[in-house]
Amino acid sequence: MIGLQFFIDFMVASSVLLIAAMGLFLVFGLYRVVNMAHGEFVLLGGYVAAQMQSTGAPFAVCVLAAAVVVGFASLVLDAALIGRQRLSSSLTPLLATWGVGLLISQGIRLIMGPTGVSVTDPVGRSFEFAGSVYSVYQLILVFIAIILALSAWILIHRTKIGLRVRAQVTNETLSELHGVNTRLQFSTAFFIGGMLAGAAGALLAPLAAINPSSGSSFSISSFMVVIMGGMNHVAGQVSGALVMGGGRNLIGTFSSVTIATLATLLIVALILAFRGKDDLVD
Amino acid sequence: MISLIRAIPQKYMNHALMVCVLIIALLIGFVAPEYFVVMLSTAVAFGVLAAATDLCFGSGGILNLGPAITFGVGTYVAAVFQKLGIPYIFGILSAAVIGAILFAGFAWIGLSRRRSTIQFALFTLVASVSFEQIAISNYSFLGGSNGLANVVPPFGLGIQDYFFVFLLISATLCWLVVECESRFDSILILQRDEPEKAESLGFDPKSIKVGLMFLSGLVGGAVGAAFVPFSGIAYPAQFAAMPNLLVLVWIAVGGRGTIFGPFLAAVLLTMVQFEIGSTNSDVYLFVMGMLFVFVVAFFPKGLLPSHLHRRRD
Repeated sequence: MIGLQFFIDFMVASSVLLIAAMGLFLVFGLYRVVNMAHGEFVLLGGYVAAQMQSTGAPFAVCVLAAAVVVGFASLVLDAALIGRQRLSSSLTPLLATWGVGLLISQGIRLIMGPTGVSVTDPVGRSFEFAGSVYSVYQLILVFIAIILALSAWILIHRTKIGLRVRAQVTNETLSELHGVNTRLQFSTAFFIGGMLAGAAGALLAPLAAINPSSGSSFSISSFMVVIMGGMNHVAGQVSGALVMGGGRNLIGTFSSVTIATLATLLIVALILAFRGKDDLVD
Repeated sequence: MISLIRAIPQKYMNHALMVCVLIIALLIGFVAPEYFVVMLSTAVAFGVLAAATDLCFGSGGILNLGPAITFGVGTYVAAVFQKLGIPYIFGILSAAVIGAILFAGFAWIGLSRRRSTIQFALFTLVASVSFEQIAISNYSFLGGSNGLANVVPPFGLGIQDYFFVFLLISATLCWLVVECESRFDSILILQRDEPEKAESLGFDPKSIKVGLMFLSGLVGGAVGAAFVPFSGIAYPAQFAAMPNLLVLVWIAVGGRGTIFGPFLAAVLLTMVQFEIGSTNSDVYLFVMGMLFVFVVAFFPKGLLPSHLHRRRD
């Protein structure tokens, strides 16, 4: 059935986008810190997973390793560049992280070569249903995305920790007066965001080969998901991922890469013209 | 020497400095061998591009993560026009017009009346990726991933003779940028830092920004078109991350807002890049990335001495 095939492809594409964007949601959606290196964090996660897998580690360990490495990288990034500048200037973190992102991708290119790596599908099985073949791993990803979205929603919108984070984001000074350790909280959030990005890179690596230039497409998609969904709520991320996943699939089935890229540009332009202004005023 | 520099009114400092550099380039052009002329022309071309981008970024407060887009478009336009047999001057003019409209269009779509740094930066990022994609995928007209090669200087000139024509064009473009910056200096700073105040005085920050991008696109396109006979080829990687990052590195190192600082940084760093050689370009890019991050984090005013800076906020 074409309909079911399309629906499952759409769910898989949206899940991929959501998993990649979740880390950015914490950092950019909530804290409004533009981490232009997010895509490269995801890329780094993928590369770490590939390296770990080549040493024979089980897939779950690869994902964990990716999360830890990228989490550590984001700690360094925070300590060196973002922590001090976060409140005073929105431009410096943007530029600095852009530079760091390019450093990461260049570093990967220099160390690992430009040709890219791939990670083998840990499940490797597919099943047939109603005349089409579906990969089990992709369906697992959909489940992971759902669980991720639910956990994020509960954590941010239904717990005390989440309340403190939302308080800090709304009014930093006032939340400090109420005893929130803002510096620590941001660093923790950034760390978790980095871990999520790394894990995402590892989880998404089996789907397609990655090369040092893949970072920018991860960045662009993630930013678009966060912006499109309205920045503050998990539900927004989900809807942003759904819209983008659906849109991209729709365009992708009918045309070539060039048109898809141009269409992306057009969509970004339209979103900016009609929506982004209000949410991103700094 | 210092007293000579101090004698120049602040207002014309940038004009004077750029004239100096271009005169030096002119003199070198008389005596230098061809490969050196090519290197110098690349340096000057990028200098002009850096100056134009700094006009937008430093004075205008517009963060454009794809400043090399119109440069690349300029090279392609010139190459295509030459392939079609149209006189070169039209190539340069068209490149200027196309570049201007392109950047002005970006600004008009992507900028809002108030501050809107992030979404416009993202937009330009997506744009540069898109342009690279377009250039790679179109084989019949744009040469695909090989690009368009065999671009030669117009009017049957040799490289070294064309160099003087190129310097003339660059000088004109520099003059445009510097004149715009000095004439509209206070308005630009006002709309950059306090758009509400600017609006209440009757200036529309968005129109000013669109105008700045228009000029920047014009200069970028024109200098790209004028430059391409030296490199001889228009290729898709001009739209990639590296050239765009390099422009921002030059602005960061040279001091954003000073116009001349980025120009000089571009000229010097490009010559260094040539010296290091194209085989090391990956390492060079890595080093430039580190330099960029370092400068942005610790030297927001840039690395050049402060007496070259004009009085700023």
